[in-house]
Amino acid sequence: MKYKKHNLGKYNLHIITTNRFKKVSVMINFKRKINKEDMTIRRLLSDCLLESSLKYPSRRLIDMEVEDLYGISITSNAYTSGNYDILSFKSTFLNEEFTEVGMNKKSILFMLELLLNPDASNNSFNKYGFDLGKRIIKNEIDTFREYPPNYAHQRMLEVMDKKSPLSYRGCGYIKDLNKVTPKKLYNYYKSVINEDIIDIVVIGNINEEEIINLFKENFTRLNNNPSSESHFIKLTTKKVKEKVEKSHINQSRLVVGCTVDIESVKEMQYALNFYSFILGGSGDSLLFKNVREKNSLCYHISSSYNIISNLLTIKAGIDAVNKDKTIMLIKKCMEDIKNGNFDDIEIEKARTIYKNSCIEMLDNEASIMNNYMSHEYLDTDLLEDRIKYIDKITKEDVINVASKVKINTIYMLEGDLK
Amino acid sequence: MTKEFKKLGLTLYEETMSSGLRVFVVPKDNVNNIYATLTSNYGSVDTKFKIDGKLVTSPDGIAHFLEHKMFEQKDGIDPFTIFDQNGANANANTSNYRTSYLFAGPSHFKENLNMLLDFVFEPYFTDENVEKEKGIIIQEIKMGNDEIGRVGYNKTLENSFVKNPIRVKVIGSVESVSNTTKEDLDICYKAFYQPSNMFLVVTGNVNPKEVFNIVRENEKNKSFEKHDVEKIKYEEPDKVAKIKDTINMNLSIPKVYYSYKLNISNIDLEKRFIMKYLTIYFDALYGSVSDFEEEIEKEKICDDGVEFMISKTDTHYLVTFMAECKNTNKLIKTIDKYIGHDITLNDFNRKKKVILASNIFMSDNIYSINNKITNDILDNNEVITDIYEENESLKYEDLLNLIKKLDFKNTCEVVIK
Repeated sequence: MKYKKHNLGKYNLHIITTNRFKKVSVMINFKRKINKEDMTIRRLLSDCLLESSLKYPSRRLIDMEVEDLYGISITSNAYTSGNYDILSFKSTFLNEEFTEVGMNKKSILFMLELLLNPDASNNSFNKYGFDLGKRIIKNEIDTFREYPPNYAHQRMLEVMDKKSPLSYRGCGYIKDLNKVTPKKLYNYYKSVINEDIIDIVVIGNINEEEIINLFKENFTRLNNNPSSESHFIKLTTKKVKEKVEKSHINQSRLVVGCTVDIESVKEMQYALNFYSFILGGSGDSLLFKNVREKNSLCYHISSSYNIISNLLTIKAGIDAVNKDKTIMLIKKCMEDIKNGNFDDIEIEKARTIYKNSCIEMLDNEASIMNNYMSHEYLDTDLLEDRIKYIDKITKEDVINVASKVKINTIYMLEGDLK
Repeated sequence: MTKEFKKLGLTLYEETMSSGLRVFVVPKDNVNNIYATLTSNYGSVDTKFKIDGKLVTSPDGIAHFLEHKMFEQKDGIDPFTIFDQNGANANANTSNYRTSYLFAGPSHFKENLNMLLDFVFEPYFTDENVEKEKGIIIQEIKMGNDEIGRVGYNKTLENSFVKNPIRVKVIGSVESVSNTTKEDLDICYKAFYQPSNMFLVVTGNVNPKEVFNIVRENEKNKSFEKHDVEKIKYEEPDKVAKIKDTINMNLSIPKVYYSYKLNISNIDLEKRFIMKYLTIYFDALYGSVSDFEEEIEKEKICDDGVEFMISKTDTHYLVTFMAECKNTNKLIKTIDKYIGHDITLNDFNRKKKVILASNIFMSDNIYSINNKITNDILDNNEVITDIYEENESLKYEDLLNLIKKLDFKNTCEVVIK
């Protein structure tokens, strides 16, 4: 596998050549500093661009072309990454050696067609596609509450710090959606194309020169690529916040948010990963064994962390009456790690699992791309380098990180159905 | 025995062990990972059966309960600990027709495979460990009751079928789980975890000979009982149990599940071809490139299209449409308006092109290859290695003929509000 970054001035083109896959994937990311008021319009844009285009003015015509291009997949996603908001378009298609000569080019041009020639006239998105996109986003916002695990997690973040970009709602906000008009959306689209930081990644068994020329000839814009700042968000804990909200659900959702007092990307990537795994990363973790297996309090319990902030999250689905007992057990598990009350074998397990998961990710083109972009955006190590560094982590590193973990927020979405 | 997946660049190795366990291996040397699944031809529908001539009726959800309890070991070692130590991900799942135990990991293959065979073929049920599991499974049931999609789909099966136990939830109910005993688990295990009722599928970076040897060696230390088992057949009528139903979950936008129950027992086509043609047909008629979709979008009946899935029994297929929409009556009327219509040759050929491409995508992923083999064994008792050629041979006329023979009058509607 060969990673190569080409700074083409207007944007970065990253090419990962490998003969492992029968497919080729292309990811085009637009990012800018996060702004709560802009989140909704970005989501609407990510949807509208794939609903229709100038050449394919309906979803039906787009999908007909999709089938003609051997079932190429094109998806969009608008998500936050710490201080940044990212609009990501991804396409995957069979390498032309398995279809017809010329299909690689044709497939990439189709993707660019959708992104660069939207369904607009007179500096305004066409109303039909715009209204459809708007209704779809509105539905997503309206139904957000109906997925208890996601909703409870979101509410925990809002209770923790509603000013932090971490707590901005990924689905967007109705009041911002109502302000968008076809004209405003078009203006915003123009600013994304011309002003956002753009990174393009292509992975597959491809000819590097051909890909570079293809993009140079078919994708240009007014401005040069702006430079990026840190994505990282630092949270602090003063005192523990607690909140219980009721909902018409069967199972109560407990979400515990903790801050970890570290800033080094290395420590986040390795020691914290080990910590989270030992605490609640598998069917043999401390939480799983103590809360589920020994006390039968839950079916689901886990801990996780996200490298864009110093946040560690523990989630469990329980009966409301067992809340105090569950929290007591969670705290006990956290104390145990802090005090070094766990076997050395736990470290070795975490090491092997982490290492193997990196090795496995090298089998998957999407994982390789995501890890590569995380290297670009967050300065994390590439998979190949991680595999080596994992060997250096010791029990002391984990105990050390454990001493920096503090519970910040205990949130429960309490089910009132019997 | 070896067979080639022509056009897909894969080879299937198959051997039957002396215990009766069938082992299938598809090596793929350009990946790091190895994926292994051990499947019993036993699912949630098999609650009633005959063992050595004696009729057994077990509680609903027992196949799933058994799946949970298989991880219990006599020596107290938790299989998850071993898999974790070896850097592998292990799991298990139960559906209507099968129970699978699996692991994936790029190292320690031999130890992992031995662990898998050991914990599945050496059960350890006690009254205490059975009792302890009930709280966990009841939490799993509650979690499922909050998942809208699951609630809608379960209700659809319950209302569409009259006799066939596919109408009962895979997980069972709080009551059936509470009533499950160690003795229930023992008898079901005896009946359905005989190696001759199971098969192992390994895909990824492995040597087939090594796989066969590990299994052969592992079996030497085990003894297997033999029992005659007969699954019960059900006389399922064409009519559905309940035509219309509404569930209240305080949704902001209703979700509709609308199904056609199709009797396929007298159709003169192999089942998997019926499935292929039905999939093409419904995709062409109701998918994103259809007149139907354009109509519901233009009329603002439904913004995000409809999805469909097909559930199988030995006599009936149930085609279920799922959609989020405010005007559910209008949506159902529109679905009914199009049913039975022909699709065009152009549509057929485009769908076929996508299916052929999807076969190549499948051949690039060890999880998809493993799934395909597992489904083939359960459905056909053999692996269809000429899948690409078979799909190339699909005929437009055969599809039209099939559709003419189907009766679309038995429908079932479930709306969640």
